[in-house]
Amino acid sequence: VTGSKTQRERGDRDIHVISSWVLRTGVVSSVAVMLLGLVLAFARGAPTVEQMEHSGFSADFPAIFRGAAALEGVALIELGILMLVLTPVLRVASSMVIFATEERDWLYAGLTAVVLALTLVSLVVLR
Amino acid sequence: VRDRITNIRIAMFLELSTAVGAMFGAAVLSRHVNGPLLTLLFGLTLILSLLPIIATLGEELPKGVRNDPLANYLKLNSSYYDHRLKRVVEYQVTGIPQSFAVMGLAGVISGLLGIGAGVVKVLVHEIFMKVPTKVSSATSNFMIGVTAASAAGVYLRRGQVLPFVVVPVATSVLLGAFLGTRLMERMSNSHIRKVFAGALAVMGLQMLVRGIQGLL
Repeated sequence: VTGSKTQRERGDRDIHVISSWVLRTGVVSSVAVMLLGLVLAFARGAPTVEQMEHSGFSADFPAIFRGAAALEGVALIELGILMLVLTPVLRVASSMVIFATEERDWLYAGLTAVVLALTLVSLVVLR
Repeated sequence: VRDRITNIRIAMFLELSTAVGAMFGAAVLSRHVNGPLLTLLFGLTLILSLLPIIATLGEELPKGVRNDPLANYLKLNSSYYDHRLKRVVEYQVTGIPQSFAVMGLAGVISGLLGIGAGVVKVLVHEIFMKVPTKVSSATSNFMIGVTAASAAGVYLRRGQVLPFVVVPVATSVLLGAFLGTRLMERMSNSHIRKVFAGALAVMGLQMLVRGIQGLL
C-alpha cells in the first residue's frame, strides 16, 4: 500500500529540501577541507611539480584519517575527496529514508535502496 | 533546488540501469575495449544527436507529449515553478523503455571513459522522455553525482586520482555550478537549449578529433 497524495507531496518537498542541503553542505565543506590541505601542504615547503604529478590518491583510509587529524596537507586533501565522493551517496540514502518513512512509497524506497546498494558495492569492491 | 526542478523519481528510476551499465563498463569492458575507437563512436553519437536538438531549438516547452502508462505507474509526471515564465509548468513523461535502455548504454560509456555522462543523460531526458529543458539538466545533475561516485572507487583504488589536481578543479567547478544554477533559473528553456547545443557540438568534435588521433 502506498501513501496518500498529500503524504507524497510533503515527502517530495522534504526530499528536495534535505538533498539540496546535503549537496551544499557536502560540497562546500569538502572543498574547504581540500583548500585547507592545499595551504598546509604548501606552508610546509612547496611540493615540486614532479611530486604533484606522481602523488596519486592512496586508498588507505586509516592513514588518511590519521594524517588529517595531524593536519597533514595531502591527507586533508584526500579526506576532502572522500567527502566529495560520499556526498551524492548521502543524498540517495536520505531520499530512501524519506520514501520509506514519510511517503510509505515502497516501490521507490526499494528502487532507491537498490541504487544505494549498487553505488556502495562499486565504491567498495570494484577495481 | 527550492523550486523543485529536479525530478527525483526520474533520477532514481534511470539510475538503476545507469549504475549497472557504469559498473559493467568500468570493471569488465574497460579491460577489453579499444579506447580511441570508442571515443570516435561517442563523438559521432554526440554530433548526430545534435539533429533532434536543433529541430526543437526554438521550442520553449515540449509540445504534444503523450502520456506513457509506465510513467503513470512510476509517478514520473510532475511539475515545477518556472521563474522565467512565472508560472507552474506541468509536464508529462514518455518513452520510458527506450530511456531505460539508452541510459544503461550511457552508464557503460561513462564507466569506460569517465566522461560525458551528463551530456548523454540530458540527451535521453530531452529526446526520449521529452521533459522540459530545465528539468532535464537539473535531473541529470543529480544523477551524474551518483554515477561518478560509483566510478570513483575504481579510479581512487588504482591511484589514478591526483590530489593536487583535484583541488583547483573542484574549487572552480563549485563556483561555476553556483553561478550556473542561478543563471539557469532565470534563463528561458530555449536559451538553455542553445547553450547545450553549442556544448554538444564542441564536445562531439573534440572526441572525434581525439578518436582519430588515437587511431592514426
